[in-house]
Amino acid sequence: MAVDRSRAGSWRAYGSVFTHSFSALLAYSASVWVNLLAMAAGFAFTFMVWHYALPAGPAQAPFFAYLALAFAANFSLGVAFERYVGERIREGLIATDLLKPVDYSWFFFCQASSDMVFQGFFGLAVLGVSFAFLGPALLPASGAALGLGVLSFALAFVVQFHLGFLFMQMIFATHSNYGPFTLRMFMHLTFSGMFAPIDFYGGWFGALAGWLPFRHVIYTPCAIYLGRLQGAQVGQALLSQLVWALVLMAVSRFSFDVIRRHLTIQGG
Amino acid sequence: MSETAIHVEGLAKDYTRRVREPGLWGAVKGVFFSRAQVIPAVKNLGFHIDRGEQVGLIGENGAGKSTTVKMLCGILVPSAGDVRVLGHQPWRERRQLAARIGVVFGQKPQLLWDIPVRETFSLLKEMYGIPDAVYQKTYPKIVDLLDLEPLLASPVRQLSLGQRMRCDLGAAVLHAPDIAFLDEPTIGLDVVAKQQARELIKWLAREFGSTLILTTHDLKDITETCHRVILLDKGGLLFDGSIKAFESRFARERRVVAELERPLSPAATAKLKAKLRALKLRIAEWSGQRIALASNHSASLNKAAAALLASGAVAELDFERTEVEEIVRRIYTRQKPPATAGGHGR
Repeated sequence: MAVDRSRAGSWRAYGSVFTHSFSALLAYSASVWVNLLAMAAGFAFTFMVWHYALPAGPAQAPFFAYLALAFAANFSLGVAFERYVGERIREGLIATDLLKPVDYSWFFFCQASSDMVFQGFFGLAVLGVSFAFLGPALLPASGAALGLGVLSFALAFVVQFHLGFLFMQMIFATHSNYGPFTLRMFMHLTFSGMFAPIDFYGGWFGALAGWLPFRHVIYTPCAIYLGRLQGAQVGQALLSQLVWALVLMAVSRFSFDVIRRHLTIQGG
Repeated sequence: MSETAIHVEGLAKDYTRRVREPGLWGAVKGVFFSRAQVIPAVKNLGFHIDRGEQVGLIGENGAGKSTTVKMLCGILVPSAGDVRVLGHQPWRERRQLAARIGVVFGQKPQLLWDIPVRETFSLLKEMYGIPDAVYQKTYPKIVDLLDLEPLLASPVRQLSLGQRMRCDLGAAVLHAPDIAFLDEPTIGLDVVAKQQARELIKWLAREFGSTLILTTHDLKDITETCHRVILLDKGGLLFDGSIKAFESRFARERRVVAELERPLSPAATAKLKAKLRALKLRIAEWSGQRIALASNHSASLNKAAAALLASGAVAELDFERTEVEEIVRRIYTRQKPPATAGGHGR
């Protein structure tokens, strides 16, 4: 019987990867609740720190609105897939991933997308709870800010995924995800704008944070949505975000193609 | 002229291993300095396999079987040499090739860990773009042959090793691949499941004309499903030919086996051994009520059989060929030349 191989790896296949990965995330209900509790604790802790550190005044509500949005964005754009892929490289299970008739990068992009949607529900819960406390400060600056903020959030996911895909490739050399993952977390926590808006940073550190792509993961979408960026700044930020997304996509795909040639999987 | 499935020429693969000194201090030093050691896993390998052939790839642990399979699948890039699989250069055209091959790595499950087996199968249907007509033919047959029905609703993580292997095997051939690379597909299977796996392999070859490359340490898998053997030794090719040729090259030896009614007296034993000494036979076994003698020469075995019968204690006498498993065991252990009956066979 003739089998049509041309359909292998089609868009339908990637859609199926997305839905099946999403189902897999729901397999551990206890873990879902622990996840929710950990997120609530982390969120409360961050708020308390800033509550005591920041002088009371009119600047507090917009700042907390940024913090709530940043926390929700960070939760949705988590980096879980890198740890998963890192483990697979270390244990040689990447062999079975490379046997699938799909693009490796797209395959994991779909898995990461399902992670994002799954985590996104928790992110929305964060926003719901925060809205009860912060009220209108959490609303978008305008209709345009809402639309462009959502667009920026989509681009943020592309940037975040390809940053992760690049860092993940270090594991081919280190054979353990311990070092690369720590480096990745440090860069993300420091330069993404998760704990404070990048426009708070000053001097050379602010300049560095403003140049690196990490700011496009949290700061850019949140700042656009809340109106911290205005007029031409929004266009510039979105363009920069788009350029970084495309550059990271090209670089991570190219480097994966090169580094894959040095893959070592010993043993049966 | 038959179509080529796999063509391998001058294939080699070297691994680099970081060597550290033993112990805690060695581990600490290893953080700063380590020595690189190059290990040749596959050396100058060459063979040709036609479409529809069923080939057993055997060799002892570390012989380079799995590394060879991984290069043929496009997972690993060779250090040297050329490989063509279904006309593709595997590591350059990984995706195109992946759509046409099915692979089982006995020690590396490819099923999704957290979802039911049935869901993985439906994901693979989409991933491989299996047309409904093909899926409706392969899916029920695979489920039936491997007795998967009771397992379909279970998440993979809840299955035993043997159950998972059966599901993995089914998943690998769901798209009726042109070539099936099965690397230890019967690992962890009980005797019934092993037979089911062999039936599946035979069905695949019969129904779809799939080429089969089977790597296993269970030689029965090979004698039941393959007609050709490639024997690897320390990364190189030691033998490539039919199972018959393999037997005649490595197993010219035959045996005469006698089951005795009662143990022989010391005097009768001495007398029989004296007769056998002249025949230059190898004593494969000489226990209380069983004697097995081996030789490459039929005439010697016939004379030995006559001597055994003359002892008057033989209840049953049989001539045996050496099993493939025994041949391979001897090759792996590099057994010394057989001792003769005149010496001390055991």
